[in-house]
Amino acid sequence: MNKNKLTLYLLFVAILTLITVFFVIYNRSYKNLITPVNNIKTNEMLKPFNPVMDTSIIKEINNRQQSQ
Amino acid sequence: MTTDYKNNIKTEKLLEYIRKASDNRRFVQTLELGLTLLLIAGFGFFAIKPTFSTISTLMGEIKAKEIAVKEMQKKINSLESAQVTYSEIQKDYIAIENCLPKSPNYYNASTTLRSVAKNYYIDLDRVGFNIKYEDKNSLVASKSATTTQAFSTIVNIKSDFVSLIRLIDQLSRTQRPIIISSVNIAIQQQKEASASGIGLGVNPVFYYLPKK
Repeated sequence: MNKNKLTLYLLFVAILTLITVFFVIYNRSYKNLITPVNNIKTNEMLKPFNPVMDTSIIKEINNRQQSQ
Repeated sequence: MTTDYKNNIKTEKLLEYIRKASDNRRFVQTLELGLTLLLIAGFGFFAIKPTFSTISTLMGEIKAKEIAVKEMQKKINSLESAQVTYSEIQKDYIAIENCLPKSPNYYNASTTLRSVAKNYYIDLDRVGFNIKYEDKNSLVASKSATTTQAFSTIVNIKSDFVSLIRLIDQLSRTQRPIIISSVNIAIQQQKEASASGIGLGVNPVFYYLPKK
């Protein structure tokens, strides 16, 4: 009877270990997959900028009189 | 009677043997299953994990590189169009510099005030500068993200009302933006009755953008 209990316990531990190992594998793989992408997305050097300049202000400046 | 009893004992022993054999077989099967699962877990940890880890790292880096290339291309395109805009506005640099000089350019401020006043035959005999002027509450300081600095001037003029109004209007339309922070108007007590005049005290504020 004790022997059977021991083997059932062993089976339970084995199943939990297997689940844990697969979870660890999934977790590590996902982290390895996502981390470089996130690093690139948060990189300041790659952030886009707006190249459009408000040239209407320059026109307004040119229209104003220049006092010398 | 004795034969039946003996048969019963034999049957019980046989049944017990069968039960024990069955228990033993179940024990061995469970043990085998448990050990197999542990073996698979060990194999997964020591063989599958590094493999998957390497594969996912490589895939992540490939994805990251693809995104980086796309973003870089976007940025290069933006830089190209910014360069075109920059070359287009290069001819207007003098106007921009006149509008918001890098230095306070006090002489230019004084000349601006004098030339505007001259248009209305107002003689500016003295222009004072308040170089410690702090521009915290004005529209320019609150709206602008850049750190513009300012200095105020003190001008006292004596002239007729219409000329003074035109002068203020003209000052608000110069190329270098002038913000008049305060205006004081006072009627001058003239000795000659014919020469009626108004005294005007204005504090035009000039802006500049110092180099960092």
